[in-house]
Order: sequence, then C-alpha cells, then structure tokens
Amino acid sequence: MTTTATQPVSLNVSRLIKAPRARVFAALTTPAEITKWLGCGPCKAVVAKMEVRAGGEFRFRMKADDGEFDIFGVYREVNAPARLVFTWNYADCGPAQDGHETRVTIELSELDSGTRVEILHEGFATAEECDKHEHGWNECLDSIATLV
Amino acid sequence: MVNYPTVSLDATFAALADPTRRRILESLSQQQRRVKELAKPFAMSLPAVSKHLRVLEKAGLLKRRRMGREHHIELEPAPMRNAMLWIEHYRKFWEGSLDALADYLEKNNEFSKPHQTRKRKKGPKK
Repeated sequence: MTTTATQPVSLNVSRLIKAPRARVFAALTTPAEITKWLGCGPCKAVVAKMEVRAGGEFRFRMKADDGEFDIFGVYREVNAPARLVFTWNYADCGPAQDGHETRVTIELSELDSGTRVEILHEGFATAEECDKHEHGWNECLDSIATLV
Repeated sequence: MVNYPTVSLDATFAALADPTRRRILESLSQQQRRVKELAKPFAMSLPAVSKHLRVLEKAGLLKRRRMGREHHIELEPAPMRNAMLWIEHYRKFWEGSLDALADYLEKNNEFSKPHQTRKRKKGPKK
C-alpha cells in the first residue's frame, strides 16, 4: 500500500504473446474472437454489439454461473495494428457501479519473439464523480470476486 | 467520526487522483504528522493543504486527533485497502484475459501465417 500511494489510480498489465501483431489486433477487434479470451475463469463474454471504429460502440454480456452483467463503452481510438482505446462501463452490476466510466488503452508492439500487449486501465474516479455515488462498489465487487 | 460503510470507492479514487494528496498519504504511511509538518514539503499555504486534508478526511482516508491547539493527522488504511482490492480485481480480469488470449493465439499457431482482418463471422464452436 505504501508503494502505491504515490502512483496514480490506474492499472498496468502486460504480456508477451507469440503471434504477429496484426493477428493479435484482429483477436482484439473481431467479435467471433473476443469471446474466446475476454473474461476469466467461468465468466464468458457474449458480444451484443461491436462497432470497431472511433466513435463506435460495443456491448458484451458477461455470463457466469451465478449471474450476468454487461460491459459496454465507446471506441475512442482504433489504430490497427498498434493501438486501441475505449471507455469501460458496467450495467446490471449494482446501482453504484453502473454509470461509472473508466478507460482502457491497449498498445501492441512488435518484437522478434511476438507481440507485447500492454493494457492501461485508468480513470477509476475523477473529482467530479466524487459526490455522484453514495454507495460503494461492493455489490459488483462481490459478483466479480466470484468470477475471477 | 467518519462512517466508513458510507464512504464510496469513488470518493477514495477521487481523493487519490491528486498527486499532492497521494504524497500526503505517503508521508502519513510512515507516521502520524501535524498539519504544519505535512505542509512543509509543499510550496503551498496552510489553508491549501488543509483543503486537501479535508478531501482525504471526507473520503475516510485519514483521522484527525486534536491535541490542545494542534491537529495530529493519522492514516486510515481501510478505504485504500478496498480501493486496491478493486484494482486487484481488474488486474485479475485482465491477466486472466491475456492468458486466455495467449493460449488461444499460440495454440492456433499462426505466428508465421500472415493475417488479414476478416469480416467473416465464425460459428460459436471452437
């Protein structure tokens, strides 16, 4: 906790994938393929909408054994095969969690050994949002806790 | 007293969104401090620092104890732990997803195959 205190409230996850960059980008942006990997554990995604272009919308229904919720947002940048930026919202995930928007940036860089995928998830709250929600995110947190 | 159950994670994240406030918390993570001590490293007035302290207090991130005329400020770690827990869930989500993505792409062994973005829809079966 001490070490995170001086960091902005954002999250970085990175992974080397042994596949060409264009192939990885296609897996991120093709409806039939995103369902193969998005989510984790027993949580499976069903694509309701996926318009991969700047300003286009997406909506995924996330299904687990004990419940369902939606992840939806708008693509802000679609720069094949290097960069993808989109907003990230929840629906049916509890009154506090619904309506809270965060932002995801995915960057792909080409290496000899494959493709480096870097995910930045940021904007967990802004000052304006501070007073908007009276309750915590515990309901959604609980439901996600059962999924991961 | 701060009523913790009503303090939202949003308030925590909003409080943490400011670099000055993060440095204040960092300083408090070592030991409790007086307001004057907290203000010292910053090129800002006491009232400006007090304003940051009020935001942190409202978010339940610190406790204030009055000793005579002096205010002693102490870190309250619970809300931050909740916030970090939440971020940890996102981390697991993305790490799990990237593991699955790697499995999917590496299993299909298309590294050497040139790929073009296709519009063609595939059936749901693997």
